Amino acid sequence: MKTLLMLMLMLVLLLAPSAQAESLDRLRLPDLALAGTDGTTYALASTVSKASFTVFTFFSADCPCMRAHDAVLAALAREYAARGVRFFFVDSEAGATLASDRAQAAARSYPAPILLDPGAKLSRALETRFATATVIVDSHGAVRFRGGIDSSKRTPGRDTQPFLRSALESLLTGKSPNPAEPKSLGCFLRQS
Amino acid sequence: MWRGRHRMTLLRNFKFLELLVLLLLLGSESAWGQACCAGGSALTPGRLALHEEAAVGISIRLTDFTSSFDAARAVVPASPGATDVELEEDVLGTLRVLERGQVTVLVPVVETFRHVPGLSNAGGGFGDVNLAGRYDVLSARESAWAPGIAALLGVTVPSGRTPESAHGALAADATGIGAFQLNAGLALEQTFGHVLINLTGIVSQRTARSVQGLSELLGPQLLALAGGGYAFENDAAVAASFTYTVETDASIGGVRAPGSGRALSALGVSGSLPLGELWRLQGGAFFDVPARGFGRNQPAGPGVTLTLLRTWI
Repeated sequence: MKTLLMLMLMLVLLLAPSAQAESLDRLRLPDLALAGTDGTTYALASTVSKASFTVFTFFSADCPCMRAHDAVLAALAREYAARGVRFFFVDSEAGATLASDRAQAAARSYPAPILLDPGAKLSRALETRFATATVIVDSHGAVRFRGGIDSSKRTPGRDTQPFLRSALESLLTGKSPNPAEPKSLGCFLRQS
Repeated sequence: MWRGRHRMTLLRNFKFLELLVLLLLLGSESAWGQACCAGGSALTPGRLALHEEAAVGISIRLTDFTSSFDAARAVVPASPGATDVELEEDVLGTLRVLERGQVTVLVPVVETFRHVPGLSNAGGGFGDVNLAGRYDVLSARESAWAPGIAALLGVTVPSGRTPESAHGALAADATGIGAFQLNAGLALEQTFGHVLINLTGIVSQRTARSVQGLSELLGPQLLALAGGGYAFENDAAVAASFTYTVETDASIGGVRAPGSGRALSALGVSGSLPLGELWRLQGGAFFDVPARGFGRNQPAGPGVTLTLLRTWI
């Protein structure tokens, strides 16, 4: 009986990572063209093919969790730009406009543009429901990470687990992120 | 004398619903404006915030009954020298059982001190345990046009001491109503930036019980709440609410007892303060509106609450 339980436990442990990877495997970056607050319209497939990895963080103007992570995201975007990682914010919320996003990007000193996602096509394709949810895709458009920036819903502290940073480090060294799908702790994305 | 004691202590369950509603506001730290992630408590004190998986807490409530409403809805001040003070400590735990569902258990301990000139009575013990569930069909802010919609279900178990089992002339050690109470409700809430509006309705029905050979059935109860709050960037929140609770006449021995129905209106203000990522302190003050027409057959007075919650994400 004990042996059987041990075998079952081992089976669960063996299957767990592959189940997680499978859940990301079924997601693909849709080939959308989204307007950015920098005045450029980005064809996603073409855009991601030019970077080693591309990070999309779903944005909400009035979510305190978003604001609490502004500085972290800005620092990561600057730090990893030199290593071929491109960052974007994505506004999929109902009622969002390029003008309001432009004002937000300026007020928050974002080093990356906010992409307007009318109809939430990108967030639906990537199955993200919360602000601050972050997706990393590789140059082929495959989703490699989807989840929270870190383990804090407020300003990250000493004990915060830096999920996004760890995922980028893993991917840049040829490993799979672990965890690949940590919890996103932001507000619901307001959708129509 | 027994009827008087009976009436006085039966009112506990009225106050219990009020506590639940007050905690709706107290617990809604993040629901109030989705300050990083909604939550709160409706029929479920200790309601989990959006990303929380579990919570345990302790809540203390002190109420000083300074007046009462008579059957004609007039306010009757307490007799000179009379005191009726209730202290309640609740231990509560909430667990997320589905992505959108949560269940709460609340175990109250009640102590009451009553005094009238020439007579004092103090007592207490375990009160009626409450089990409650909440299912968020749609969360606040999830839709641009539809409000958050939650179904509420609950049952109060008669684990406390019934009024007829109480000792002493003032029945200060009665801690329960002696009947099961089934609660069902609907909560609507929506955020507008940092502001959240909540409307909640709960209907309750008690089971019949036998008291000294007579069957007694309290009337159905309806509670309506309107509340609003504001959440700050740091997840601290303030809220205010108005609740109105009304109950139809009871039946005794199968016969309606005219004039036995009850009502009460309460105003509350509350606040919530996050203590790091996983703890939060909630406090509030409330008072039953001491004006003619705002209550019936109910004691009334001001009170304060304080709740400390530890949560798990």
